[in-house]
Amino acid sequence: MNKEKKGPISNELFTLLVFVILFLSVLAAFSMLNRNFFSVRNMLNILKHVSVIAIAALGLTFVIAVGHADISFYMTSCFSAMLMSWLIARGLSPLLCIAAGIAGGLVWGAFSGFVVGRYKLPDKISTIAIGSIAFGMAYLFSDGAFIYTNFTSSGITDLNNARLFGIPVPVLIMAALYLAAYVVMERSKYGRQFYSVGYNKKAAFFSGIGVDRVIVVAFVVCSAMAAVSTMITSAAQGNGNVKSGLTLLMPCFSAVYIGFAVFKKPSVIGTFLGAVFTAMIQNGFTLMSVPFYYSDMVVSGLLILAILFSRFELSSQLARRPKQQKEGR
Amino acid sequence: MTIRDGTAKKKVFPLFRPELAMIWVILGVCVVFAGMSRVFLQPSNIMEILRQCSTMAILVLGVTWVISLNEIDNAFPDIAACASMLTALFIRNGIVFELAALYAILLSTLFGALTSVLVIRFQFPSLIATIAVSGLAKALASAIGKGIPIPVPSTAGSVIYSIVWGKVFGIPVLFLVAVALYTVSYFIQEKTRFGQYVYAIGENSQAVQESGIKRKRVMAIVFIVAAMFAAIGGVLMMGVLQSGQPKMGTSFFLDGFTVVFLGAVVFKMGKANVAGTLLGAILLGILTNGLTLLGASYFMSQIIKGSLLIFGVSVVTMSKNKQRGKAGVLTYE
Repeated sequence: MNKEKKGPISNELFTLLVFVILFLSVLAAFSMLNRNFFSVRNMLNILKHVSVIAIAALGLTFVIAVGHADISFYMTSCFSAMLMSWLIARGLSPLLCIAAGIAGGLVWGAFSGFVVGRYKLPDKISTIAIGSIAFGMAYLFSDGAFIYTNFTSSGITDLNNARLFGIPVPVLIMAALYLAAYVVMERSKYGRQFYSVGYNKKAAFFSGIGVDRVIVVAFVVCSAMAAVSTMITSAAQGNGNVKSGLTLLMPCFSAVYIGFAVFKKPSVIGTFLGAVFTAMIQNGFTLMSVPFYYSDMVVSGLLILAILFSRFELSSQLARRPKQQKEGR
Repeated sequence: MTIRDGTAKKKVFPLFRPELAMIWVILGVCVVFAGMSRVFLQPSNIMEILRQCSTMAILVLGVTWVISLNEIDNAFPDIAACASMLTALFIRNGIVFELAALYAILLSTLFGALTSVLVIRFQFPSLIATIAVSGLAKALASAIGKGIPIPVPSTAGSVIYSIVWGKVFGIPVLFLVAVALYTVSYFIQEKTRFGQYVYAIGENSQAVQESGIKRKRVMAIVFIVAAMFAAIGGVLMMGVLQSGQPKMGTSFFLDGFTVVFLGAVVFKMGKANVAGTLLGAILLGILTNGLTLLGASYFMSQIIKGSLLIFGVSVVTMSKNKQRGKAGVLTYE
């Protein structure tokens, strides 16, 4: 009944509306519970936190879009961060170190991509294995100890602290990556290949798409983005920590799947919304000095709710229009 | 039971069949370690290996069936951690050891029920459902002790203590318990309808549904059983460590999957099965013990385990592809 009243509003718009209302109510709740929530300083903090999660989640979006799952990105990112820190300690210039870290991400991503895309090994288990190898390799650089050497003098901390036009660098990096990803995924022929592969590999193959290549690219992008994200975390913490990337798994999956729930497909904008939502909730709980485990609990609860929500939408749609459901996803 | 793959089957001496390759790998690894370390082959060390690998074996017993369903369970390490914390909490509050363990196992099994509701009723991909559930379990495990482990007063004299540390004729009771559990599960897997349905669902879920089997019920039971065994493993682990550890899950994650997928290489080429999982656990126990004796560092063992997992997975996949065969000019897959 409620739905018929809305008439012209499409299902997607309705979902988006619900999301916005939910978002605003969480915002309102946090600002009532804590006066510092809306301060400029905290907003910048949230934005920085958003950018760390959002960058890694953006990469994951590509992998989810091709219909796979990557459980290695948060472990390979530890390798990249440690590689970067190790090179910093050797006294190389920060830009070079960052490039090396990204290159590390590319190599691991290519490894997973080839194993899953070319050799058709099951994605979840193989990426767990590859991620563990990468995580083991991360210990090579310092035997698991923190790397502090040269961190403050080399200028690597600028990756987190510097500002351009008053905006922190991580936020700028995030904005640039999202813009690029949006153009590629939504506005270019190349980007549609990812969705095509995700919908139906065989159909994609017979319409002339190099399925294997697309999958490899998705995994490479995922690992590289995760590497960038964890390097920002390292720069922010001012040390190279083997375990700095391990907290990424849950927020990234929940960001992508919240986006999935809102837009009914893995999308760049959806992931961004999901990342903002997740980061905001984590930040809000931290401000109220709630211990980390409760915010973990809320984030995983959120992940469950997001998917539940998308399922309810789908099932109500199924009930209303049983015959037109074929094209929908 | 032979698989026809077009080529005439060569007569192979039964002990050298590929299904049994794992046993030869285990023996080979043993020989290498025995050559490199004098302590390795001493009876006390071998018994210690058996005791150590039993906890892992019990922990992943249920996960084996989840993998045979072609689903995945990421939650088992954190459910184990949660069970260990719950037991420690109950004991600290003055509940008898055995009852505390029982309550903890029952409560932790609820996570399995949650997973199965999400996967079956709401059709979550099992990966996402279990990632979310593991997040909940991990958070709960940390919340119970406010982020730090809960030590348990000495458990000597209780049933758990005698299971974990006791010996019968020199063989650890824990290992005997694991073998008993595995024997029962083996019969369930091989001789009951339930076991066959599990493999049928893994092969083609839709076909099973259409043939009138209660597919959803089988899947629900498998997820719940997986959580239950994870919880039992967690409680035993608490007995070993004498404390509830909120973060014990991280070390089980890779080990658990390695065990199951190494096990999938044996006996039923390419399908996870309980007999294989037990062997996989023993192999991993030997490797862990041998590497520790040789003084290998954390990263070495991590890399070796990761490589073993990849090896297991690729053998499984290749054998499946071989069975499937190819047809047509342009094929994808």
